[in-house]
Amino acid sequence: MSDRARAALHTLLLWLFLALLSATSACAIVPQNRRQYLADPTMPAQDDALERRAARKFHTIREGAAGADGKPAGGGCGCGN
Amino acid sequence: MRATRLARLLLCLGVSTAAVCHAEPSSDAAILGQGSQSARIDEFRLRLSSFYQDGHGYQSKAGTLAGPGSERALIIQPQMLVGIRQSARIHHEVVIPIDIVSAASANALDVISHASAVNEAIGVELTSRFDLTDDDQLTSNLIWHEEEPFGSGSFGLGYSHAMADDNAVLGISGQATFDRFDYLQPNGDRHGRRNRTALNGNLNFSQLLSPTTVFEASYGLTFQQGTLETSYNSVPIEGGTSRTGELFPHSRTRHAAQARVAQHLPESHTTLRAAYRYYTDTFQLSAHTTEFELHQYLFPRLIARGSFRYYTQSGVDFFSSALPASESSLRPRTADSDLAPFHAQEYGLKLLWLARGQSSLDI
Repeated sequence: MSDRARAALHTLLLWLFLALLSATSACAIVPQNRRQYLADPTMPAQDDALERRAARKFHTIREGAAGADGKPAGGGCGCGN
Repeated sequence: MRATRLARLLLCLGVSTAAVCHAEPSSDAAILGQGSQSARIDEFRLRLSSFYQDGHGYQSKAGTLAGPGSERALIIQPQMLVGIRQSARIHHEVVIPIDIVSAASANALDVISHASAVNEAIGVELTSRFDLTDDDQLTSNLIWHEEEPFGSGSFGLGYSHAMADDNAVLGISGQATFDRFDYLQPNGDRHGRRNRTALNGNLNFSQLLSPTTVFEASYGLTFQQGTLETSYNSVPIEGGTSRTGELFPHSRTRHAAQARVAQHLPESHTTLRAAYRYYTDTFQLSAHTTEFELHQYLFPRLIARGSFRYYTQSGVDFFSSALPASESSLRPRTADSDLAPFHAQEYGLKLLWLARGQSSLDI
C-alpha cells in the first residue's frame, strides 16, 4: 500500500472512531439509583492498576505495538519498545 | 532436575498474585466524606508477577553467528501501590515496580556486561489527582526509572470532565519522557551516552450505555525522536559469517486506538468484557489486538476469570534475519523478534477472592 493510501486509510479510521464516540454520547442516561451493577468489582472495563502494569510489561517486551491505554507508546525503559 | 522443570512450567504460566487492602471508614464523619483534614493512606496493593520466556530470535547472539539465538528470560516483578488521601479533593498514588530480569540481554550482550546476566530495574511513579469541581479533575504524573545501563524521567498532565451526571467522562492527557543510556555496541564497546525523547498525547472517553453496560474508547499519539535502536542488538549478515549493529530511523510516530466494553448479566452473575486495539506507526508496523474476558461468580466472594487475547502484527519494513552484504551501512536494519511479523495467542485464568472489609486477594 502506498504512503498516500495508508495516510488516507488512517484518516478514515480516525473519523470513524470519532463518529463512534459521538454516537455513543446519545445513549440513555443511567440515574444514580440504577447503578448498583456498575459498582460490581468485575465491571471496570480495565483491570486494576498493578495488573495493567504487569500485563503492559509482558506485552511491550514481546510486541512492537503499544499505546491507547493512557501511557506513552515507547520510551521509559530499556525494553527496546 | 524434575523440580526445576516443574518450577519452570509453573513460571511459564505467568503466575501473578496480588493482595489489596483498603482502609475501611469507621466513623460517621469518615463514612460521610467529612473525614480528617490530615493525610491518610486509603489504599495499599501488592502484586508479584513472574514471566518465563523460552524461544529464539535473530537478534540474539546466544547461538550460532547466523542465528537464531536463545531468548530465554525470566522476569520477576514485585510491585507496590500506596494510595494517599491528602484531602477531600486531593489524592496521590505512589507505585513502585521492581524488575528482576535474568538473561536480560538475551537480545545480544551475553557475558559482555553485567546486564547480560541479571538486570535489575526500579522505578517510582507518582500520580496526583485534584478534583477541581464535582465534574472536573486534573491529574499530574511523575515517573523515574533506573536500570543498567538506562535511566528515564517522565512528566505528564491530564484533565477529565464528567458529563450528564457522570454518565460520560471525556479526558485528555499528555506525557513527555526523556531517556538517557549508555551507547553499547554488540561487541561490548561503550561509545558514550545517547538520548531519546517521547511526546505522547491521549484522548479517552467512557460512557454508561445501560445500567449493566460500560463503554470506553481511547486514542494515543506518540512521537519519538533520538537514538531509537537498542544499540547492542545485532543483525546477522547473509552467509552467516558476521553480524552488524541494529540501526533505526531517528524518529517514529505511533498511533493507537482502542475500544472496550463491559456487560454484566445479573441473572447469571456473569460479566463479559471485550476489547479491540488497532496500532500503526511510521516504521510501517501495524497491529491488531483482540481480547475477551468472562468473569463468573463462583461464590458471593469468589470470582473466576477466563481470558483470551489474540495479537497479530505486520512487522517493520526494515526487519531482516539475514542482511544482504551489499546493503548500505546507513540503511535502517533490525533482527529484533519484537518487530518481526508474527501472531500470538494468550490464554489466562484468574481467581479473585473478595475478603471481609475491602480486602481482596487474586492469583
